[in-house]
Amino acid sequence: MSTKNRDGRATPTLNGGQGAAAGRSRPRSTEDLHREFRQLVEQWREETFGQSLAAPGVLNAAYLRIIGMGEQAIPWILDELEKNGGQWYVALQSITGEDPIPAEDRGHRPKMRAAWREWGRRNGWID
Amino acid sequence: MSCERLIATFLPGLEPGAYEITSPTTDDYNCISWAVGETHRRWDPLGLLPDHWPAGLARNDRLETIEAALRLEGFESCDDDVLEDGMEKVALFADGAHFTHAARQLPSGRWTSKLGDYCDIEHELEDLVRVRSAKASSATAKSSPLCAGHAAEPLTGSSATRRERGCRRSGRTLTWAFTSPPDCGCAARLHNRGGQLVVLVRGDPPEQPSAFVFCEISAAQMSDEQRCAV
Repeated sequence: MSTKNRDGRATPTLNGGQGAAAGRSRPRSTEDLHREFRQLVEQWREETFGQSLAAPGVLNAAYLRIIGMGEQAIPWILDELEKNGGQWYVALQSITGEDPIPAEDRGHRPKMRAAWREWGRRNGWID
Repeated sequence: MSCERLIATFLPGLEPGAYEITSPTTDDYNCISWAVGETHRRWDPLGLLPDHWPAGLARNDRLETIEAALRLEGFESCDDDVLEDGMEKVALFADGAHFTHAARQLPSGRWTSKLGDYCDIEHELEDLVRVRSAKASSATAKSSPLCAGHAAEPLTGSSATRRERGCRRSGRTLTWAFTSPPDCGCAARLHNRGGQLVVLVRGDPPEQPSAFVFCEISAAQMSDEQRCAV
């Protein structure tokens, strides 16, 4: 199963292309999905507030649901990462199968954010 | 959502006048980073994210693992959270045997904490112990206030091996002294309020050896006199 990204190139998806439409009678609009994404981000931030280590946040149901949205969520996640930060690196790696962060920059959040921003631009997900 | 509003929502026992927000919201560092004085990277033992963790140390969230990391930074265990000239202290919080938070003592005697991916706050240590204990899920965190007539749950993990060790101060350093019962009033008081807490001390200068002392004791292991004295 594959979808097309902004360049029209076919790219594999982790969830077989079903994403948020799985189990539903009809596909949902991008607006609906984006609204749900925003709600999930808020839920995730509230439910993981004050947690010191990343693991509980990455295993949070809202976080996993965002991963389940698949490639459609990539530009939204990149935007959220840029504007508000957050531990979105596992989600991005899970959806894309890529890790653009150079070894020497691992752990340094501004450089990690910059690496994903550059990846997003290079691959046509963000301007 | 602002850090202040999140605190009000998710740490409701932390009254607005009991803390000050001392930094903008940022995920560039976490409470372990902040405890050791770093703001340029996160420390995380679990390895799900590409964060810093000292090579060779265990990869889990057990309290002793976090202690081991702090020892590499020059910290040693000590007996209480009292402000001492030339000492920088870090308090580790745990839910059962699992690390949950680190706070660092300021020269004023108050404490500073980084709240996850959000802001730093300045606070009294006991306020955060009380609030975090109320949020914790383990039996360790369910103990009732002292002298309220409720028996506290015994602590688990490594504390049992430490409770026989008393301590005394010698100049700026702490030295081993084995006494019975242990003189652990302050740590015991914090235990009784519900959370497991270890106070670590970094010597000044860092290379000056600071012998370490463990004074953890569970409320269930305390005498009535000890419980009511705190």
